[in-house]
Formats: sequence, C-alpha cells, structure tokens
Amino acid sequence: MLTAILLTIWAVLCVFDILGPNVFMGFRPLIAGTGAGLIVGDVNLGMAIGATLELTALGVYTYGGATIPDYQTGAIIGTALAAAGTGDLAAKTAVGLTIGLPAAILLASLDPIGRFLPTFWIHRADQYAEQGNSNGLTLMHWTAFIPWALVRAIPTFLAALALNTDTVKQLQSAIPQGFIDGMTLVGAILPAVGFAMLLKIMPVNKYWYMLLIGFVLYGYLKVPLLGIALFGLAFAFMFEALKPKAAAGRGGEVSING
Amino acid sequence: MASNPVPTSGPTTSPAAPALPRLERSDLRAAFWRYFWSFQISWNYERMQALGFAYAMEPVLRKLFPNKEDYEAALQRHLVFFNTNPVIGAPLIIGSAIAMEEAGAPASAEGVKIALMGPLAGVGDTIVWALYNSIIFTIGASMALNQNILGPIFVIVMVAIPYTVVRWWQFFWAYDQGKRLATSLGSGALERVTEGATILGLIVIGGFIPSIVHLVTLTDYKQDVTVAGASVTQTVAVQKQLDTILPFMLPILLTGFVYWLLKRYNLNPLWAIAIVFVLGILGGWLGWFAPALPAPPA
Repeated sequence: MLTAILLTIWAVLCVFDILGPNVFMGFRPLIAGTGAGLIVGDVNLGMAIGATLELTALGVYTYGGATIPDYQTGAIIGTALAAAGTGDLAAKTAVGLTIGLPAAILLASLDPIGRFLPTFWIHRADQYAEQGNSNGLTLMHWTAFIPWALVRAIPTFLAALALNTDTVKQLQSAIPQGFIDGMTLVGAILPAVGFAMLLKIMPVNKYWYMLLIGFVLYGYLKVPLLGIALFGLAFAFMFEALKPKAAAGRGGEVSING
Repeated sequence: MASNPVPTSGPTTSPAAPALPRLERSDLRAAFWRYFWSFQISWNYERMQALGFAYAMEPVLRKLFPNKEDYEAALQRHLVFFNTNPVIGAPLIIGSAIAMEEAGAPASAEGVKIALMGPLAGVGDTIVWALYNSIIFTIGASMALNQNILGPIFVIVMVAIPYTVVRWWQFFWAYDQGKRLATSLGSGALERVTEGATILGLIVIGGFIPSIVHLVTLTDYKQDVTVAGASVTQTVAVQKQLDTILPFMLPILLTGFVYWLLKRYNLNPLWAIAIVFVLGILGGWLGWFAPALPAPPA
C-alpha cells in the first residue's frame, strides 16, 4: 500500500515537472522508470525498462499540445508490476515492456481529459481577473493542475494496488517464451520508430549527407556516442562559420510589428 | 486581437506628472519564479498557456498599475490565448512583455506575444525537444541499459542546469532589450542557431541509428559449392553476408522503412509503433531475428 502511494506521488511529481520547473524531465520514461525502480527497490529493473521505453520514444514529444503515448505512466506501471515477477533482469524487463508499452498507448486516451477539464478553471480565472482578485487567480492556476494529475495518478494507483506477487507470477507463467523473445526484439527495434519520427520533422532532403557522417563515424570508425555528439557540435560550428555571410544576412522570418 | 483596450496611464513626458511606478529587479525575479515553477500547470485546450502567462505577469502588473481598474484590465489583457515552447520562447516573451508594459505600451506587449509565440514555438520545439533532448536522452539511456546509474543522473544534470540557465538568461535579456528585441532577433541569428542545431542533430542521429536499433538475423541458407571438383553443401549465415555488403544494414533498412511510411503516407505514429510491434513479436517468436535488448557500447 505504501509502495502504491509512493508510486502515485511519483507519477504526479513527474507530470508536474514537465508542466512547471523542467528540472528532471520526469515525464520521460528513462527518469520515470528509474524513479519507480527506486521506489520498488530494483533500480536496475526500472532503468532497463525506462531506458528501453525511452529509446522507443526518442522523437516523440507533445508538439503544440498533441497527445502522445503516456510513456511516463507506462514506465512506472511496467516497472512496478515487473518487479513482482520472477526471473533474471532480462526476463523481468521483457515482462515490464509487455505491460508498459501497451499501457502507455492505452493511457494516451486519458490525456485529452486532463487537457480539457482545466478549461473550466480558466473561465473562473476570467471572473477573478475582472474583480482584480489575485488570490483567486493564483488558486485557479494551481488547482487547474488537478485534472492533469488525476488522469495519471488514478491508473498508477490502481495498477500498483494490483501489485500482488501471485497475480503477476500467474500472468508471467501464462506468457509463452516465444512471446517474451518477441517482446525483447520489439524493445530492440522500436527505436527505429523514434528515429524515423525525428527524421520526419527534420530537413532530411536538404542535409541527408549529415546522416552519412554520423553513420560512418559509428559503423566503420567505432566512435562512441558521446564522441559522435562532440564531433557533430564542432562540425556544426564550422559549417556556420564557413558559410558566406551574405546568405545569412537576409533576415529571419521573425518580424515584430508591436 | 480585433479590439485592444488601452486603459493605462500612457507614458507622460511632462516633468510635473507623478513618476510611473518603476520595476525593481525583485519584481522581475518574482515574475520569473512564478513562470519557472508553474508555467504550464493550468494548460488547457481552450487557451493553452494563457493562465500561466497571466499568473507570471501578475506581480509586475500589480506594481505597475496601482489603480484597481487599470490592474483588472491588465490581468484580463494577459488571459488571452497563448502557446509557445516553455523553455526557449516563453521566458523571452514574458521578459519582453514586461518591458513593454513598463514602458506604458500594452499594445506592443500584445504584439510581441502574437508575433513571437509561433516562430519561437517552432525553433524551441526543434532545438529543445527534438535535438537537445534526443541526444542527451539517447546517451543517458544507453548508459542505463548497461546498468549504469550515471545514465539517469547524467540526463538530469544535463537538463536541470542548462535549462535553468537558458531560461533565466533569456528572460532578463529580453527584458533589458525591450524595444530593441525585434532588431536583435531579426538579424538571422535565430536561423543560424536552428541550422547549426539541425546539422548536429542529423550527424548524431546518423550514428545513433546503427548503435541503438538492434536487428540481427539468425537465418541461414544452404548452398552447393564445388570444392576441388567435389560438390559440398555449405551453410551460410545471412547476417555475415549482409555485413560484408554494409554494416548495420538491417537497422538502417528498418528505420528507412518506418520513415518512408511516416513521410509518404503521413502515418499516425501509433500505427507505426503497432506495425513494428507486430513485426518484432513475429520475428522474435519464429526465431528469425536475435532477441536482444539494445546494449550499445556507450
């Protein structure tokens, strides 16, 4: 019960962070999963599930308020239930993914509710603004977070309550080994979707050869990821520095007619 | 905005008139921290970040408009639709809107909000979410997959510190720039930053795809070869053959296939996830491909 409450608080903290302070990126599955792992007492499991989900969610952000799979809650629920299972880390991770990934996709249907309900709060805030009531405005701003929190807190709490070792073990033994193998493979290849989504929003037609540079660095020269990132940083600065100044001086698309 | 109530005490040049309330740094800090802790917690479909914007402006408006009616009007003015990137964008626009309210030019404050929220949302989303976060989180996740607790810690440090610094700096820079902000942003600097970040992002993605997407086939085929006049049947592993053509060929093909689906058919990402999900379950269950969690040499 304590674990369920802690997990629920963690789920709320995670969504608060992305809406407010942005100091630990709790809504990313890597962080949400690791935190859940700490709570259930198996950090490695939380990290493994969180990191695998993270790689499947790489390019997936909520641009302009669009709903995306709720990877955060998926990672928390997946970690909590997998911790109650048996087997080694790889087996438990596969169980966590089997639960966490579909949960993330299903829970995405609750997100619009959390985004819709605060509309009522803002109309109340209009009245307070008319009266010049700053305390009322403050109250509306902070309590409008309640729907956001509840659509994640309730599923997390319910799933964590079901964290009965026997139930999970029964569930686990009902899953055939072939399916576990398949889920493991899914975890290994789903990052392709994340990368494809990233590429979709980037000007690949114009700069496709940049992809080749990174590929050659890793595929042939075996440069580690951090090394590729540092090389890319230096190369980007060089590219901008060597560019003819005339091309850059044409002014931005940003114009202000204030 | 079609109608724009301007009920403020406009800037007066008469030396005899009472001085306008001036903002102290502490007023600015109050606004910044309100933004910092809670900017989007009241986000909603109707007006998105409007209430967060008004809440951040409130301490400044209270100071600037001692007259209750002016204050009420100012609050309502900032409760209109607003949405931009919360990390790169929002602090800049809030800082600049404060400068214009202080200068007694509420219409300019509204102009800045409307003119900048769209472009900065695009720039901010690309740089902060798509590029910076993806790089940091890929590195952190690869460390975490090797059971290295430094992975999540690395990510938190690389998010908490740079984000906070960038937000703080933007806010005060935009306030100090005031009216000159338009010239500063119009010089093409924003474009260059975006282009540089795009190049960095693409190089990194080019290296990340083969290191993160793990697809190794276990299939093999038999072929008859003639060795010294005798016909011998050899078993050839498909993966070995592929590797001699191009290393990491399967991960590249898979990513390219999904990209093509998304780009050509504008497929919903949820469907792309579902397709890869089914392919993975089948391929792993039938033993065509090695079931392996991504464990890159970070």
